[in-house]
Amino acid sequence: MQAIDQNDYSVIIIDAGAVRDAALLASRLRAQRLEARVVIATSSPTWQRARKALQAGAADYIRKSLNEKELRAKIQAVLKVPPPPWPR
Amino acid sequence: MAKTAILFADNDPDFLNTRTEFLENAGYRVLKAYTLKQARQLLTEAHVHLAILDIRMVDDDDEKDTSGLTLARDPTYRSAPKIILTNFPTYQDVRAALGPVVDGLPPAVDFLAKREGPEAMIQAVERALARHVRINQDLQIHWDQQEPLSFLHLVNLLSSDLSNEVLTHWAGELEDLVRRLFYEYRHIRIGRLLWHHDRRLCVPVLAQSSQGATDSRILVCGEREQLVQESERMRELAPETTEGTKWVSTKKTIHLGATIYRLPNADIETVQPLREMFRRGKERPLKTAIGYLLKEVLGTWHQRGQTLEETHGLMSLYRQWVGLERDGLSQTEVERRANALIQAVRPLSAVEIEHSNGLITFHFPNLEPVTCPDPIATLYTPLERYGPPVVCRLSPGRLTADNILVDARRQAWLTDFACAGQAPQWWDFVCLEAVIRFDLSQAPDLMAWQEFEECLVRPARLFDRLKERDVISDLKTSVVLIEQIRRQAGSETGPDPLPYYAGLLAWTVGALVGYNLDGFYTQVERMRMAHLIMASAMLARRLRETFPLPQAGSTLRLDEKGSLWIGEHRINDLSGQELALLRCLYERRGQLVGRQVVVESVFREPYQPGDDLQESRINSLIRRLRVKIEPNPNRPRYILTVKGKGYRLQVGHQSDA
Repeated sequence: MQAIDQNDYSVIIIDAGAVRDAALLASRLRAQRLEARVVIATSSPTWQRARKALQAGAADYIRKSLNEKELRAKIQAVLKVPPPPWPR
Repeated sequence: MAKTAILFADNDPDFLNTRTEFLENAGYRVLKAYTLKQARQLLTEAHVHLAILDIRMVDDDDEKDTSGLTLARDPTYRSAPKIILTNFPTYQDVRAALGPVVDGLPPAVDFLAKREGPEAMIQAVERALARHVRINQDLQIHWDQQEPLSFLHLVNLLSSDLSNEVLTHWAGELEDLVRRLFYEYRHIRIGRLLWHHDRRLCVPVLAQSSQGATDSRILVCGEREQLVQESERMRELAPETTEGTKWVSTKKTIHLGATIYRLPNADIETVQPLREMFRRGKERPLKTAIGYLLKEVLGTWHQRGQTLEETHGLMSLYRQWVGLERDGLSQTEVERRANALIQAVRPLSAVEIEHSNGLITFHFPNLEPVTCPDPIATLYTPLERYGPPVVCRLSPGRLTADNILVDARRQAWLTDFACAGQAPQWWDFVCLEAVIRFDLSQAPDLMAWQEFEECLVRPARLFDRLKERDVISDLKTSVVLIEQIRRQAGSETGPDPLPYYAGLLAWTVGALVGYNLDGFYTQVERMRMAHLIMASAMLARRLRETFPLPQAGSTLRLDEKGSLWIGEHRINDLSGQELALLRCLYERRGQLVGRQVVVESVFREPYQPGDDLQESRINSLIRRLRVKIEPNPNRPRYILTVKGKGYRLQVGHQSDA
């Protein structure tokens, strides 16, 4: 969070295993009205967690096991789309 | 207010029927689709607030069947929120359904597994409706008591070719749009129709909040894509001033879109279109309103800077603005339509309109005929002196007698921004003059129109005073307002009236071509057509007097190939007979050429003195040639008449004096 406060980012990738609730963090970041797109990466994706993450405002929900080329492609795809509207 | 309608699409009939019961018990109207085709049809034709779509709509056993998701992603139906429901949830399908957000909505707003049960489904529906379908169910909608409308009536005006069933659905959509746009209000009163054209319409709305405060709004609605584009254009281009029309909000459904605008400081209850104000005929309030419109409204648009159009010339740009450069509308087709209209208005009053050999002649009883060149040919002749490049300024778009609003304090507002963009700098003034000249002015006959048009095409500078004493009293106010418009045009664009007249010519031809040839028209409408034909012809004559024909001092010659040159201009639109006459005169230039010589060498027949038909043919041929080569056919400088004897061709310059 310190790093997020100090710098502007285009994309923030959150490791779902490193925080208690990645979806909650994504929604807090959206609530701060940051321009950054939030992507949640996980080693064990499930459809329920994917739903929670995307409904919380994450721009994407991806596997951690992606190789560099795949990750680059996902990030480029996320950057092409404007961020969803901030929560009211 | 009708029940909320939910489209429910699932290829499992038992599941669909069972879950439908739950939704109906919760108070929703459910439109069931057992196939993808039915779902698509209902989304296209019916009025749907929310859609629940199964992913595997074709084959439950096929892992690759994501037809429901494909439908959810179809941009045609993007504006209806959707919930994806599946027996086989995967995180990849969730990603595809819930992101990305395009145009305000993701492909689906929620994703459910069927095993989560009916309660979860009802909750998801309630959440989706509350968040994405914010309809003010408590809004009280009142209609103007003197001219009451209805949503059905409005939708019928937007699209008269719909079946009754679809019309009812669209009326429901329009009501939803209004309830969404006025979400914060308790009451609205929708006034009488201000204008409708091009599948859009405009009404004033007085809105009252629950605290009792009232706001004045203008509602413009129409087909979705058109409306959305218009609102984006307006938001991007409109000047940021405290005055002038302000965008408030735009909402859309699958078929329709609606925008509300705010008119700062407007007294919405007294707002009326310019047409109604003109009908009352009081000159001073009209002058004040036109002055406000020119300086405070159009002036702020024009001040947003100028651009140079480098590709197209002035005539080409004007043709684009009046819709004559659309696909498939060739010059020949424009000529065909104009000719058909001339035929249609011919038996009108005592004036005979003759159209032949590229000339239009108006035969007035007891007066000299007025002969003019063909306006269509003139419109398609480039005015090379005026570009490219052409100076363009920002225009709010199409100005009409109905889309300009005026209130009791003579303030004016614009309401139609569908065509906003860069236009030749004379364009807004031309449109405003054309509205007054052709839509609002009234005259009893073509003679009165002819005097009016002569008065308007005469000035050599935009600043010049118009001689209103030459027109009938009914038209004097129009002349005063047109003079006011031209004065402002002159101060912004310079005194040269020719590019201005060229714009008016384009406007008149655009209006003529806009008539449906199979339509049934009243005497008043046919008189307007005849007025447009006459004005276009007189404008063409005015343009041809100066351009591209020679300036004073030009000499006339026929070269070795038989082409006619006047100064540096080659005249190449002469007919065979006209060229034969010219050759006959040219071979005897400076000499008297008797009528007998003309008949024998041009018509190649014996001269019959006293033959009225032969006399008339000579006169007609001389007149046609003069119109094509003389700067002013009524005061010839090349083909001179020697009274009672014949003609003399003067190839060098002869002073006008």
